[in-house]
Amino acid sequence: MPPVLDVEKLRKTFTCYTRTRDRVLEFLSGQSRHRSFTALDAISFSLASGQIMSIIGENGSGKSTLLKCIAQVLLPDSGTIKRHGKITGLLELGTGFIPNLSGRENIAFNGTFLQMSAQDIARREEAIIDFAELAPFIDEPLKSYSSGMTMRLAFAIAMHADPQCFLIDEALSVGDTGFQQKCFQKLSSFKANGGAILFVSHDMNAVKLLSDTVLLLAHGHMNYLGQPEEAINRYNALAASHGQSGSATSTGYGNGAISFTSVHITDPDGNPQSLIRSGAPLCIHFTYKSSQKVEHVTFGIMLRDRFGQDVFGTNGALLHTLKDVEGEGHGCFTFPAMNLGQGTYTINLAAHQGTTHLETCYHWWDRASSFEVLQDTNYIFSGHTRLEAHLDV
Amino acid sequence: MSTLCQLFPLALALCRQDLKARYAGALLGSLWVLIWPLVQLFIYIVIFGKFMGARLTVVQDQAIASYGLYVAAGLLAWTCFANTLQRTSRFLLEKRQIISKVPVDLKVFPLSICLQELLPLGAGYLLLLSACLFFGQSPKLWLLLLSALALLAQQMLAMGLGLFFAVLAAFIHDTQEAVAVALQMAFWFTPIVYHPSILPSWVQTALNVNPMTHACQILQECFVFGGTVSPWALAYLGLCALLAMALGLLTLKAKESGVRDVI
Repeated sequence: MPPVLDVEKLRKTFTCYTRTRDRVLEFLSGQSRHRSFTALDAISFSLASGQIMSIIGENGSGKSTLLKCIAQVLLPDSGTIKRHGKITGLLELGTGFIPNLSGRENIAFNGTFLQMSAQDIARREEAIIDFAELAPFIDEPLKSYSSGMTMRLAFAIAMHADPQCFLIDEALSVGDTGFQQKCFQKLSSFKANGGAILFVSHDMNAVKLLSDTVLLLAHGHMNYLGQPEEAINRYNALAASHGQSGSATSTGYGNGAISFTSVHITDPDGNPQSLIRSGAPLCIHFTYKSSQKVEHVTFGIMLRDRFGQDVFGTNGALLHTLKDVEGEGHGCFTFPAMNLGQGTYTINLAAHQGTTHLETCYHWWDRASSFEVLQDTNYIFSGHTRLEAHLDV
Repeated sequence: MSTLCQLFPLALALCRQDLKARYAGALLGSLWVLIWPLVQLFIYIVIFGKFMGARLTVVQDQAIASYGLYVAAGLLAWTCFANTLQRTSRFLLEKRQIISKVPVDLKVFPLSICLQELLPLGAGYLLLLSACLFFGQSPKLWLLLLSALALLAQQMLAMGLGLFFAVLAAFIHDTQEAVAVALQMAFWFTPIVYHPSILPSWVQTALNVNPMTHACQILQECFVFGGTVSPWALAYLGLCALLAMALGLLTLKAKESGVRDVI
């Protein structure tokens, strides 16, 4: 497959000044008054036509900067980016539209920047409006559009500008499910026709389902480039090693007689996890300390979805495991099968007296940690709960 | 030159869209671009020149000319210059929505601003020409050609300086305000509402350093006095224009990466 994009030894640094005055003083005195921040260093990869590559990494790892460099919106300090053909895409939200102009005029305006000739634009206009499903509103000013409508228009224009490579920066999270599916269909036919796609996402399900290769960035460096499965595992390990597993500084309340000190998530062998397949086993370990001797303590756990809805909760009283506590200690909730649907879930921990934390609460630790459940490709279903189902017809 | 040819269609499209965007929702639309400068010129020519009968007494040759036409000629050149310079010096901040989202050659924006400003300039030029003919003067053809050249040169001067200040403004926002103040001062340091002959001779010499003096004087000669234009004046204006373009383009080239990072 011919390459569409060749990136070699890319490096990008940002110069940060705290105050504008520092910039002037530095110019006048010649003494450095800025902080340099290396956003990307030694990035090399090549993308062939018909390939989908995802870029993953924690916040601030340089994903968006890389995409902007490839899109020529930012200029790298050193290294080369060879583009064989046109590159379009959706960078963040908003796409250089002009709010006062109508949707139709914005198609012409945006198209001009995407190197479409006036004839191209005229020829594609109907197809773009059709795809964006905006026919009734196309002559209204863009400022009256919802964010989903704007995104649909942006996607439609970028896709109809005949790119050889398409960039997506988290933008597809906007828009309703129906349109998202339409976008994915469009992207897969684009890919089948030899188009290359580069996309940045935090949605590990999408990454796993869509990509041929995955580039994992950590602090602006390439941590891994290769198979999605391995990349996601490494991302998972990275995320688990800092930040994701909590320490007791988050929100919470209680009388403080007992307090949680840490929480971490592992598989049954004790390997850190923050990403599991639906139906896989999971252990949630916690440590605590108490300032005094407390008897018959109930330790509880509540799993919530990303909207904060209770998904599952239990505690020592319900499981008939109460504990007398003094000093430091640890515990573990073991789930032989995490029968949840795909999505991100938060872990909330509680230490209290009796069957609910409403009686005497020693510590309620809100959003102590979180983990993500991926679809089990052997048993695909929708919704929160993994029920066993059979169909006889 | 080849880049100019590549940029031109995009600049033209941008200019059209910009006019549309600026006057979207207005009944008269982009006609407003012409209405304001034409009304201004009309006031000077008719009110000052005809009703108030103001006359300009030029000391050297004792010629009497219409003060209204004189101010209108200088103002035509100055307004176009000042608007181009001021708008260019702001484009990086005003167009950041586009620049940070789609790949675009930054030079296209000054070019598009200049094209937009040529519209009222062209209309004003024609109005001034018809006023001259109406008052019984017929400007010499070679002076008309020279004045067109001078306008071209002053627009290059405006774009070059504007580009330089635009880069500076991206880093130091005060530049925008400073440019506005400097333009106001430069207006009075250019013989537009007064004739240089009323000034002490050392100030007159100093005035000649200002390239815009020559641009305005060429237009005033063309439409008011019908006299001669020194080739040196035009050459000096052209030289300043080229230097300004070089300054602007080199500054942009050196600082483009940094500019894109901060906006």
